[in-house]
Amino acid sequence: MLMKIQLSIPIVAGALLLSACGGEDASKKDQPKVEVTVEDASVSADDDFMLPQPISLAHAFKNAGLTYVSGKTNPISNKNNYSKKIDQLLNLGVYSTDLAYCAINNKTQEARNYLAAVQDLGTKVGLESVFSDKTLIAKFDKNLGDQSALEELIYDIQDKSDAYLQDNDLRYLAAVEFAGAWAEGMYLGIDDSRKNVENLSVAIVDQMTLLRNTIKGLEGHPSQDARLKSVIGMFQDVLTTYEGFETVKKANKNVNFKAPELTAQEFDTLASKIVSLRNGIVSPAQK
Amino acid sequence: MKKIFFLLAGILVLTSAALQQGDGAFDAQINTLKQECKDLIKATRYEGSKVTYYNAGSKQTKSIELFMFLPNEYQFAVSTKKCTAPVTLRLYDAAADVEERTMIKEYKNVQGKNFVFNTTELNKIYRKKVPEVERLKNLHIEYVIGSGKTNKEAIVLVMGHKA
Repeated sequence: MLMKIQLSIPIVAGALLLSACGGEDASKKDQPKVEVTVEDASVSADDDFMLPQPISLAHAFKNAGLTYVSGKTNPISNKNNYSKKIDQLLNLGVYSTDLAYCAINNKTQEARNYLAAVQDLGTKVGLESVFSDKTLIAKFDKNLGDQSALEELIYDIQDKSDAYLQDNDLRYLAAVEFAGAWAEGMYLGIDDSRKNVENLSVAIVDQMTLLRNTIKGLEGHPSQDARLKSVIGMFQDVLTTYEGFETVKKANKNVNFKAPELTAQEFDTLASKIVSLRNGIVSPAQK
Repeated sequence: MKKIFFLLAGILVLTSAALQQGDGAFDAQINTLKQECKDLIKATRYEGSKVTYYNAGSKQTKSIELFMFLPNEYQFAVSTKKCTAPVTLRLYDAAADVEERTMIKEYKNVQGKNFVFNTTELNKIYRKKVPEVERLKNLHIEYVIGSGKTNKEAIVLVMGHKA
């Protein structure tokens, strides 16, 4: 993603120039303080990040023991409830995770339905050239029963989507989509974790490391309208809560080291925040 | 005085506008390099790509944080073919603000070429340096860009993992 950098040029330089030209005394107390900001959109941020694919996150949860539970995903019928672009993008991410969740659990008919929903929302948010491919469903049908081929197809769609967004300087859209995908993945993971606390809680804590960058991605969206600000607030609430846990405060800041082991109470608090965040995304009218 | 101020502001605005103008030929070259990187790791599933743009001239550092949640081997392809300034890649296990971070590997003077590395080799080195860790889940790549001719340049990174 192209990040804007701000070259703040204090007017000190200008004031020095003016002094040299015989202008007024720059040290005068009533000298207006002016700051000129130049945004160079062609230079990347000094600290950048690359977020994983939703299907990889779903795989990580599956490796940790996540099982498929029917009825947990966002119903496809909800896709017509999203009128704002931000909600369409967030739920494009939610449905991308649901598609991956179904595909890796060999629920091919459900996956097929979610692929159609992803195509529909993807077209609505301006990704026609990626999702208008009429042969996508046909390719999917051709590979029904071949889980690996279906997964390849999903990775391929993500690749095309990334390329389109990057070519058109629209990477900030991907950040919003990812936020929805992350929230849905965490929701599915945390909900199932009560059956397999030991392994799934490690996967959940691992994926919490994405939250700070997810928020950065949302904050990079050029249109900070009220809905987006409210969504950022929901994500920030999860992060603040998590970072306030004693076990997290004591843990090594290097996330390659042993992940913090949340207490039962901390885990319940986090679960409650994640459920609230996810519901605020899939049912925006309630927020 | 006002005239000089507006002249200065005008120059800055024009400079900014010039910097923001797209460069079709440059973008096309970057897309070609991205494809070359994808081809270098074509046996993997696409995980993401990042093009780091910079204005060469003075020495600078750019960093990218990556996540590897799967135990599978991750492969990385880097193209510095659009770099004329000297480039060194440093791979760390944490961000610069984390005390006692470990540099896992360094690639010196890699400007002007394509190359690959993977987590199998990195994990081997990392476990030797930090025995208590199991594997890398989080990697910080630092591009240390030396001083050179003023020029718009870019480094391409593509990441994938084995199925």
